[in-house]
Amino acid sequence: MSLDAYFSDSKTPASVAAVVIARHPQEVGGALDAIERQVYEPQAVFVVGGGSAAAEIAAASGAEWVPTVAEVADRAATATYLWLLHDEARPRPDALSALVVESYRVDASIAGSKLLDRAAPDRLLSVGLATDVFEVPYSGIDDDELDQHQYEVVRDVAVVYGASMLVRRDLLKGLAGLDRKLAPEASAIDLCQRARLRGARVVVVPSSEVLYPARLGRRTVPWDEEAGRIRAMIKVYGVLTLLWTLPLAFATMLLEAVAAPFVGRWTLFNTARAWAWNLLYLPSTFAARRRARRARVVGDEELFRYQVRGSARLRAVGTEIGDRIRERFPEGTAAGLGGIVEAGQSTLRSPGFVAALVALLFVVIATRNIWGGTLPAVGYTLPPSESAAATLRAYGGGWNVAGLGSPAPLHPAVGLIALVQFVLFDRAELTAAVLTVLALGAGVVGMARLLRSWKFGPLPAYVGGVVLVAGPAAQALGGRTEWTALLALGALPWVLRVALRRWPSSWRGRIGRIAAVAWLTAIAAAGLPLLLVVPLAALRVWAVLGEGLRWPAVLQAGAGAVLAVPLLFPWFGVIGLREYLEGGTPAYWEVWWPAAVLVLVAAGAGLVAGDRLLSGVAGWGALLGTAGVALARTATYDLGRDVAAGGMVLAALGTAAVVAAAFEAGGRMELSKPWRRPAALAGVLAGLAITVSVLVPAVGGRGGLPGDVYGEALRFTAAQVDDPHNSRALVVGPAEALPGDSRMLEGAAYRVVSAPLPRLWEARLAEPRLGDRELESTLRKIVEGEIARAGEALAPFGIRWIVIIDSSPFEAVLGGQLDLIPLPSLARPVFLSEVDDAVRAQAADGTVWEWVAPDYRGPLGGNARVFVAENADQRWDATGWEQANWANELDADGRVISFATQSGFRREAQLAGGLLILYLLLAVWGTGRKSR
Amino acid sequence: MRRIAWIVLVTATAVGAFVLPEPESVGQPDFSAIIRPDVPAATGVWHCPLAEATFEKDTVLLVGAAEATSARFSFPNPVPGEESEEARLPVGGPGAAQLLVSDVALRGDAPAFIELNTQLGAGFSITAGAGDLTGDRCLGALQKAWYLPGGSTPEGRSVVLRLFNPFPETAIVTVLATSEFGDEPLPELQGLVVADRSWRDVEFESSLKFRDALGFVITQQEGQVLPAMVLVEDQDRATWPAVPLSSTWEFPVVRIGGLEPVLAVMNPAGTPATVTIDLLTVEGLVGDVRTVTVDGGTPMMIPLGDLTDGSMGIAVRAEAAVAAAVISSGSGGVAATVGAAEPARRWLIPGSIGDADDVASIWLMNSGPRDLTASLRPLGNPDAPLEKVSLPAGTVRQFFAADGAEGYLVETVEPISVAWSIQSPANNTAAFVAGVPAE
Repeated sequence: MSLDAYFSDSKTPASVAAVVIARHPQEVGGALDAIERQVYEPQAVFVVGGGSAAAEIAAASGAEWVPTVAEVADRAATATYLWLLHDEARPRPDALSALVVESYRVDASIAGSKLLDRAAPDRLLSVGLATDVFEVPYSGIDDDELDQHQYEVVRDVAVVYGASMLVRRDLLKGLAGLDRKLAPEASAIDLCQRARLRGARVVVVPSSEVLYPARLGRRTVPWDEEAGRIRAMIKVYGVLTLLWTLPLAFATMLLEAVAAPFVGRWTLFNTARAWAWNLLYLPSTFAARRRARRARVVGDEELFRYQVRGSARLRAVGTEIGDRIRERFPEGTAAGLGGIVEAGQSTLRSPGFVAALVALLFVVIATRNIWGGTLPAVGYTLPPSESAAATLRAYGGGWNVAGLGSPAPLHPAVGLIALVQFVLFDRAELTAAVLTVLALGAGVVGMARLLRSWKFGPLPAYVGGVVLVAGPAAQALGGRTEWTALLALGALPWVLRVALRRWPSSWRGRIGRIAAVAWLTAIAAAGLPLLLVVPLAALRVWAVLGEGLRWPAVLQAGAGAVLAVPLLFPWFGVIGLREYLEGGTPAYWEVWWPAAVLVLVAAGAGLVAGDRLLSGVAGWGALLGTAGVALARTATYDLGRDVAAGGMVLAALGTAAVVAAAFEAGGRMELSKPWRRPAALAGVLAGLAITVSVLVPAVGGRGGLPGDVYGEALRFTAAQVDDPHNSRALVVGPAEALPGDSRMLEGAAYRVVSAPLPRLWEARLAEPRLGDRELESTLRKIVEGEIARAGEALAPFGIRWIVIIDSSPFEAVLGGQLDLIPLPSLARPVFLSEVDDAVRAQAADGTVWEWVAPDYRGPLGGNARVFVAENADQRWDATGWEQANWANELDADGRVISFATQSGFRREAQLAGGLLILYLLLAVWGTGRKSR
Repeated sequence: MRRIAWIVLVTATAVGAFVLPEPESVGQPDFSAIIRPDVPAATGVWHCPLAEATFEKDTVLLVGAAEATSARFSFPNPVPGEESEEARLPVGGPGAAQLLVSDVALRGDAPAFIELNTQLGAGFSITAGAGDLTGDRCLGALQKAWYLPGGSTPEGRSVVLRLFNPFPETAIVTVLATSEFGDEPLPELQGLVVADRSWRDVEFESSLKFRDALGFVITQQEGQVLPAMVLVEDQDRATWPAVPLSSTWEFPVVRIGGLEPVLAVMNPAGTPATVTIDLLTVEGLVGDVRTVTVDGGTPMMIPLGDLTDGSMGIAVRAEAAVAAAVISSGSGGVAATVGAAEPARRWLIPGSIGDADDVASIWLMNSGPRDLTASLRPLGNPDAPLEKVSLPAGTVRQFFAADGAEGYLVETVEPISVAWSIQSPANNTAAFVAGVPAE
């Protein structure tokens, strides 16, 4: 309908107040001019925001300046509509008339214009938007799609961009205007959703054309837009919808963070910042939510009406990856040998992209069995527990379920992994997969960025990254089943990278920097506490003999280490230094010396052939590597498992630096003096040989970890009894083959684990307590022939099965026991106790109490005396507790028997969790633009 | 300059890393060595394959212990799904306890095992009734291979091999029979299955008839069995358990009444072994009274009746590890026993059991060079006095068990060997029982 036709229908012309949203004062004048040219003349023109500069321009143009849109709604009391226009928008002269006419015609409350590229007006930017359920907009048009008037129909949409939006004034007033805390795009989404919640109709009017900068189509969404979308969700959706949309939104953002680097985008920090912002402003969001939903006339189902299925975010990433691949291999170029060569040459034009893509692809391939299935259960690599909440409760002063139990605090890695699991919908397998892939990916990228900061080319940098997570030292780490140390390895280069960055000039930046270093150090140290000091040591070495800005990094690493310590509580508060350093299997790494020689050759090449910086990196890497190897071989000084792991981490870091330096020196060979070229060539060859070794973990597909043992060895327990959780298994074999820590009897290793599969929180045994000593005594009697009914003797410990991993001296004495049945047809020797009540907890009347870790649950209304086969501790329920030999006996006056939380440890754990969030928030806050 | 500093530092650290020594490897212990297979009393479980209880016959299971303990008697029921019969008795320290099998499992054959909470204990099984008197010590530690010498199947005599599996796992064993003709290839003895918590009797009535010397080697492929031999002659029986191999054996009792003893020796090695026998009587030791060569794989019966008329003991020395048993038969019935692989300072032995007319004797043998005095502490009767018995070097002494003493703890300062016998003049039967070292 034309304007003439509209007036000829003798309808009363609507009065419109134009409102220019000023964000770029220099653009305000242009917007006002465009309004001036409108054939449908607004009754008033306002300029909102933009400060004094915008106010001056407004005054010069006869427009009125006001601070907020809500105020406009009050001042333009006679206007029917407000036309909200971004200052960068340039509406065509008939844009407003089209909006007014069509809005009247279809009785819409909000109408948006068609947006065209200001630089190329025939290019379409937007014709209204759908969103997905996470409020991520989806335009439905292709990049570079030309406007051929193919969308010339007024239609209902979920959202229209705020670049040009006609809103009924009374509605806007009722909605209290735009949410000033939100970025422009999110603000428009929020407004439209709140309007629709009140039954308003939102339409796009394609005949209203507005030119706008093409920034709309940008790929990387600023963090404040992301934050706004989350806030918009929280404000409009019902509780039930939020219960599933919020976790899913987080998961999709995490997935995007994993996938986006393939297309050159880094969204992880934006994601973290967006969620952190929402945490910070949660009270304000709740208040806004109350207002938004108070006068709602429709439910969530109406909001779903114009939403696309699935995740628009992931769809966009997928499209981008596809586009990238198509860009690299344009149609036809890959056909034939010549085509392949051509395509290869084309690809090499962007080596950084290819190096990153290949490196991350390597991580995906090298971990395929983990993300494709489950984490292998072998040695210290055990899957997270089945319940994150239970683990967190145990971490915060609850019962440590390892072995026969203990009130001792759990290892920090357990707490951190449980936190992640909590966020990932309590999915243990998903958590293990996400953490492994993320850690290895982070290690690759972090190392590459660290090396890039030393002017390394992308190819050597990413090769260094891959060698860090899959080179000989990382393989040794994996071979020792040090999964949490491998996770820590992913954070280590980031600590160095962040600490080595230029010291910020503002206090905000400095605080953010220290918080970032502390946060990263804590993440690394949670996996392997020795890494509290490793970054400091590495940077100290660099400071003494390295190049460039160095000493501030040492101070930052030192401060970070100190600030990270509270995050390791309560574990840190009870572990003795000596106990920690000497604990576990002796530190002795049987190095494959040819590999060590290759690393030294590569290091020598880097030292000789490189410039001052390059030789410094090569020397630094070589020193870290050799020191790491030395540290990992210190069994003669009684040092133990974590020292070995720390040494291997150091060696991995050093090897990565050395290999990268060798490749970098090789790359600069043409620029080197002739006498240095043979050295550079030797370095490249040595580096190549080391790099080839990363194929070993890639072939295995488990990130360098060995194959599963306990999952297969204990699977039979699930078929043996109704609920295998209610009994334990005694596992015997070589110490290095048993799950986590083990105890020794005359040099023979054994340990008690939960069935059907020991979990990560069982990996580390606490100091032996009464029950552990009693078990040792019982085993000794079995071994010495004093006991011929091992099943009966072990039943009070809840032990139903004895599983022999590899071989064990115990096997010789188990065959002659009168009540142990060898189970046939299993891959390993397994003995089943004939004793029926070999359970962890049982009432006096014989009722079995189920183990729902870390608690016990009995029948409804069960009041009985219950024997609980955990190490004696009077905090196992207060009612009628008595020590029964080494265990507990108590009155069950309810359905659940649980361990009373130790308040001191709980407070420490809460403090650690709080600091973890605080450091992250400070780090995010400190990296803002204003901080630089 | 910095390059040189790096090189020096890296070289020094690399050398340091290279020279750091490997920790000393601590090998895995051998728990099977802790259970000493040749010393039965090193275990707390005693397996008695030949217990039985009918209306005519009954077995007494006797437990002796050098320290206070409790005895748990279990009688596995071969009927699938049926629970074992059980009984428990306290045992003083030192003390003894007896259990009549008929009180618990009156169902014919009732092999049993006795669990003690001490290694310083012993289990014995003595069966009497219907003209039969037999018994021996029960079996303690487990063996991968067991040896049973002493069988023979002339007219009027038969042997039965009992394989007792008290464990919850089915056992598969192979029995190799040897006689004076060498190996006796019997396919039915290959892969014999003995069900869990059950037993199996193997008879040789038809397959190995008219053999003067029979020996058996029982090897276990899966599971464990405890073998024992039953030799039937007229109404009387002799029973003895399987033994491991040893190069020395001592038999404090080989003859009582009108029995004529024979030493059965079995040499499983591939080469012949010279076996020398010393004779010990109340007068003293006569060395090397017999020197025979026992071919490998061929059991041999060495008659001992002509050595002396009265009571005697023998000490056997062999060039190789052999299995040995004594079988005595004659007008006084038939009796058999296994020996002691080595002398000891402390022994457990039954005391006065059976009918009042029966004569229970303890036989003490000192094969060493010193004169000794053995103290015999009666078990199960606190009123019975401690007895002292002089035991000159190279002699054997008979001591009659006091009434009410269920067992004896025999102690000396130097190692000796001890055995026990019972004779029933009324039934003209006898039985020998080997002592059990309690060290």
